[in-house]
Amino acid sequence: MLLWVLFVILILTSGSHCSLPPSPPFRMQRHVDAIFTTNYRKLLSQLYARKVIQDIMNKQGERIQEQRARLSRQEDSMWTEDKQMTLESILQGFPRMKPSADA
Amino acid sequence: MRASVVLTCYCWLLVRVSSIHPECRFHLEIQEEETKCAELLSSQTENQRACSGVWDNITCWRPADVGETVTVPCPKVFSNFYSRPGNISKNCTSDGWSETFPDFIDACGYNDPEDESKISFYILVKAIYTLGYSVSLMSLTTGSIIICLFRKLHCTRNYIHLNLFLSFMLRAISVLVKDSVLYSSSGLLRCHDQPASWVGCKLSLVFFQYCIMANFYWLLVEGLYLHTLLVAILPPSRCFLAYLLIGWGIPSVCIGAWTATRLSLEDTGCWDTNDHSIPWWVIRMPILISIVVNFALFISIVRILLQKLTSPDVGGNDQSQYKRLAKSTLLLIPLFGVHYMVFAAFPIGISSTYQILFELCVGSFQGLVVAVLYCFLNSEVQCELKRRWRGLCLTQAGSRDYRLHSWSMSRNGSESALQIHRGSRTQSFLQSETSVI
Repeated sequence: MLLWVLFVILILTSGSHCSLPPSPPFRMQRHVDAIFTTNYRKLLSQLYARKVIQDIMNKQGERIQEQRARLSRQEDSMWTEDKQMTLESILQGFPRMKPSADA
Repeated sequence: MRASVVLTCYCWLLVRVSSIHPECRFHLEIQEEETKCAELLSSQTENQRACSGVWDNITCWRPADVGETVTVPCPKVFSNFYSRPGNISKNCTSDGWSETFPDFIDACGYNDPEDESKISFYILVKAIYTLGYSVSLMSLTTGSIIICLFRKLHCTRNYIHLNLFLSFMLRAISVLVKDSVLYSSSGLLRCHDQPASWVGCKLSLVFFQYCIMANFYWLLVEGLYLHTLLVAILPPSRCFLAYLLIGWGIPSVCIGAWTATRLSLEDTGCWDTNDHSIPWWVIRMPILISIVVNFALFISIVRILLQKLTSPDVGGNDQSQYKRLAKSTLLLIPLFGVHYMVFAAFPIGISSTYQILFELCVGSFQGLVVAVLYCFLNSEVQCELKRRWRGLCLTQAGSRDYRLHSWSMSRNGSESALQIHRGSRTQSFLQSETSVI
């Protein structure tokens, strides 16, 4: 009986000792279902983030070309249009990004 | 039946590979940034510059003059994946804005995972445990029906087994539900359904955490019950209410506390990631306690069995005694969840990969093992099934019915006789729990 109690105390002490250092996190890892869910979710988030970044960088290239074309037209009409209207029309030309369910 | 399950898992595997569920959070944060940018740019309409202010789908650039360089921090939408802080810049040239420099990924230290091999590992693990939980769910359902149907199987021990079966079934169901909610590509979490989806999503995680913890505590109840039976401290039947409170009540309190800490400290996403330490500990410590206590009970029970099996009261030679002890010990491992101690005892140097493989892939079949050992191979269950089978098959069984009845009476007599001799409890336990030869 005494040996059993000592064994239990040893396990608990070992557990508490291992949990004290802040790194690496989850060294005393329990409840593996939740660990799997956390890790898998983070991995999926990373994959999706990369996809979003790639989409955005592709659109950036298109946007810059569009802007240069618009600026060229702007110079030609510098003396014939109102500045306020020109700026507003430029701003309205930027479509708002809508969430895509297919992304 | 199993072929269809395997086929289902395979189909899920294909679906998983072909599509990844979109993250609403990214879209929401990007929309917020875009709104701020529009407000900022609209407040500067009085100034006309060579380069207009622009939102490039992720970053806001203020108006600038030719020759000017605009520098901004890395987009905070993806800050979780950056390895270091950084800035990105654009030059205003006579031809308009230049390309962003340095490269987004380089400037921000964007951390790209080894996505192919890692994602394959998780997909494989998920397929295996889905199979394991599905098979366990079917076998436990069958076993529960059998125990409920036969009145002669109604006793405290089988009531506890029944609750353990139920906790295993709920665990399997909760995992499958959680997976369908979190990882489904059917658009359950469409971004425009934000408020409703998040509530349902969080509820599925609460149910998931509760069922996991209840399963651990019913394993503990099995240990407590058997230990009480062998030590004979209290009449076992009087403890059943206490067992119910331990098995279903303690998890309720703990998950209530987890929900409260989750709401107040880490109400993020779908509650499916565990970053904040306090909610994580609230759910982890009770499980660790149940595992350690159950292991202690396991050691104690094995010691008691060893003493009783080697006592003069039990007949037989030494070899048969040790065989019985080995069989009993092996039988108790899945019943108590002793295998969880493997990673509790060796916390240093063991990666979560091996723990996931062992406890999730192998552990998902634990329900099946428990159902087989404590129901289908149970001698009482087999007797009842055989008796019912004979009753269905034979019509001219007058004398056999009498013999069965007589045997039943004698068995009851033996059972009452066993109550008198405390030293015979071990033998009774061994004989009734399983008929494995």
